[in-house]
Amino acid sequence: MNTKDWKILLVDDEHEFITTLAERLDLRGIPARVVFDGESALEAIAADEPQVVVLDVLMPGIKGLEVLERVKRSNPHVQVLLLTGHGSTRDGIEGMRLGAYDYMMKPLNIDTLIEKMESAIDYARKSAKAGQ
Amino acid sequence: MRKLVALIQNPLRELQSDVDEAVSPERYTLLRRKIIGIMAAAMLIPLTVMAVLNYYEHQNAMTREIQNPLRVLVNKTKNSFELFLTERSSTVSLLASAYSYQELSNERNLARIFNVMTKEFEGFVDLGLINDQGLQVSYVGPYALKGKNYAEQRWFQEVRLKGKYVSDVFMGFRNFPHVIIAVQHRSEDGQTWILRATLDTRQFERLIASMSLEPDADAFLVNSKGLMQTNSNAYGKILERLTLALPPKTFEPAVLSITDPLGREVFLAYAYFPEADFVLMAVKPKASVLKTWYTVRGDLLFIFVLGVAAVLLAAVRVTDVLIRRMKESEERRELALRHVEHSQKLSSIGRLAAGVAHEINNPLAIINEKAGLMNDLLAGQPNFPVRDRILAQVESILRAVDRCRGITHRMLGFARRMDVSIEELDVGEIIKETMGFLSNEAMHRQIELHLEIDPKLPRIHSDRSQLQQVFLNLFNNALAAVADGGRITGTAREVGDNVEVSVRDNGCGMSDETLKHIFEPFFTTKKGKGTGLGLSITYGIIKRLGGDITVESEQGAGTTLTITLPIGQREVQA
Amino acid sequence: MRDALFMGKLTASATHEMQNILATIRESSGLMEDLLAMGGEDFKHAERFKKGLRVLAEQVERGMALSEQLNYCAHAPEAGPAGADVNEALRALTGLMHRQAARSRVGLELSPGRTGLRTALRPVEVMEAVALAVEAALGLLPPGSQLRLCVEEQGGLAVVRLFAPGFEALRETPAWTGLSAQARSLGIGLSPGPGGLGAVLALPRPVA
Repeated sequence: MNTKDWKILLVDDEHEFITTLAERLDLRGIPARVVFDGESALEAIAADEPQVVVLDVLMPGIKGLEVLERVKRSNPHVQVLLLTGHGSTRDGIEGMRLGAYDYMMKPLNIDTLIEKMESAIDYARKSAKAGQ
Repeated sequence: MRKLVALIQNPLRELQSDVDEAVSPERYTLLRRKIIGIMAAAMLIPLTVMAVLNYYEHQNAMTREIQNPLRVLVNKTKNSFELFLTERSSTVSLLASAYSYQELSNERNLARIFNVMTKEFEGFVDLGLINDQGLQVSYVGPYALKGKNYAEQRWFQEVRLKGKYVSDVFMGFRNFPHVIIAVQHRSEDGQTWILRATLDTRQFERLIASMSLEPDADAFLVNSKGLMQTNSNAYGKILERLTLALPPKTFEPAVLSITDPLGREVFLAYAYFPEADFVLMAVKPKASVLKTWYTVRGDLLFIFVLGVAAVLLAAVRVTDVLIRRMKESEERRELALRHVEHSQKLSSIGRLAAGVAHEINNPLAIINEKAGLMNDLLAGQPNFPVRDRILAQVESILRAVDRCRGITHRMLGFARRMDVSIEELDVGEIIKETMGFLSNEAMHRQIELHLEIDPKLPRIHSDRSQLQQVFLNLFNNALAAVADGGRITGTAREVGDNVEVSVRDNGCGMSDETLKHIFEPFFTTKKGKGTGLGLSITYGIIKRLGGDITVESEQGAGTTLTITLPIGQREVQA
Repeated sequence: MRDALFMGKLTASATHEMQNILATIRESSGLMEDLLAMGGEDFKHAERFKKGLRVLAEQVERGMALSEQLNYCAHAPEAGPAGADVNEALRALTGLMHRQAARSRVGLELSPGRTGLRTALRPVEVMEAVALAVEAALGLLPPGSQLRLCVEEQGGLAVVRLFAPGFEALRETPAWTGLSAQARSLGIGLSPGPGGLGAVLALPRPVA
């Protein structure tokens, strides 16, 4: 599995969390950009389209689900993995309805996250091909 | 008036509508007035009717009792009068036939006869023989009446016609009241004569005196023309006109209730004489004879007033108690409702708390990532002296985060119970999750929690959080019922179109009385604590979800609460 | 009520457990620091590791604080014989509402009053009422502003002052409708602040 050419964007207002996650992914050879709010996320996606966005649902400013909706409109091939708190299955399900690829609960299991990223990238490639 | 009729026809409904509809603060006053009105009416109407009937019955009985002796007395006295007159006239009759005209015309003979007669019979004043020409042939008595001619007098005509005559009381030549008895005798040779005797009316007074009446009573003789034949205390002297109207003619003694000229209410007992032109009358004022009745009537009235007062007092008292109870229970209900409302309002603090529980995920996620990173960093490193010991700590942290994950998951599962939605659910999983909350308490109290969940249990359409609440209540009840070291068993299985979940405990059980009320709001067996909303809320939720709940319990043996939930999505009741 | 108390019981035991676990994490990270100091010279990532341990300690404290707030909430529905400590209840509430206020981009600030100031209400009732008042104010304040809550003692009564927009405007908000109903049932006095600005909540005096 070649992960070097994966393009991942991580979005969460919890700096420590998301930077540490990026660091751990980096250790596993997965490059990931990090932004800390919805606005920056939309800018980053517009500037350089990632394959997968890992997006926290609860953020100040533009909410995760709103970012998801806008991304899905502007960049339909981008796959979104939602991060929700425990017990907010509803947010996850709502996100799926809005076009998220999957959702995960915090705290994360990094191996599960990577598995989901991989299948999302696979799906993104296929859908991009089908779309062409 | 119509309202009153409606009130009487259906008092409870009227009251009910008041309770339901009236919202003004005066509704208790209104209700109180109505209840008192109805109660007073219900008790006073029969009481009054009875009192009135009793009054008239009593009055009649009393009247009869007073009238009867009076009637008897009048009858007896009338008989005495008749006997007196009959005896006297028979005597005169006998004398007339026993002696010849010659014998009687001899004044010495007549005097002897008169002497014997007055010895035998009281009341005779004089005796005279009158020939068929109306001339008094011989006379014995205190007056000088010999040679007087009676041919033109009415009584003479009458005795010639009828053969016998008893006069009214009259003054006549003698100028004092008297009655004459005249008998005509016809001898075998065709000669007729008349023997005439005068009676002193003092005899009449004596007969009346023998009636021994009370001083305020009165008795007298009167003739059919309304002339007094004896003296009366109140209605005229002898030969004066009677001041009372003459009553209808009857020979049987009768009693009338009249008002006399003096304005008194009186009983008038009277009887006409068949043989003479007399009416015997006895008058008794009601006031004196009804004295006892008036006392009785006073007693009756007193008792009636007392009864009415007692009834009113009782009605007011009972109503006050009733209203106070109602007020209290309403206040309690309001308080309880306010509590309920309040616990519902708590949801905003609950939501805030849920927000905090969410937020706890953030430091946990960071700790998780940091520890994970450390783990990663250590993994790629060759051994150094404390590597394994550090690794052990990192792993311990990761395990700790895992445990925290479980805790927040549980907490948030409950915080979510405010959201209502129907989804496809695994009942078994919800039961397991719910039981997880109580495992700490169960472990602490060494209570054995046992689950028997059919692995092939179908998924149902229902509300997750509401079911969590239901199971939580059921398990919580069971926990409250069992002693330390007890056992609680939860089972879930498919029965027909339903999933049946039962929670059985081997606790204290419930009395029949408790069982009867267990699903009522605000019922609680835990004195002093709790609002008793547990099972009624459970009941309400289950009903809303289209299911049912039953309870079996035996005191000392334990309780089984069983709920059935429809598998399919049934019409959810509002 | 019983539900709230029961939920509170559950939550209290959960937060207690959580605090225990966080404490073990704190111990673990402390131990790791010691171990690194003892024999970490050969460890290439020692510095990175140490930085991680610092973050770990911070996050443990953050978790502890949240857990304490939650614990306070869990006990908040319980009625104490001496009523509720107003400062504590408001501290817990501002902690809880901090995030909600942040979402409206409003800073929440609490000036506590005299220590030990109490009211007859249960903590949850105090929190509930003040939360509604804060909610009303949050809907009116412009982003970037501060909302100051101040606990004071006036004539023996504990009073919570809200330095917020006009009282009349507050009264128009839906949250205020809920608040005035609740104030009526709890015996809280609601009045405008000085000059018609903000609001003053006078809490009932404790029984004893």
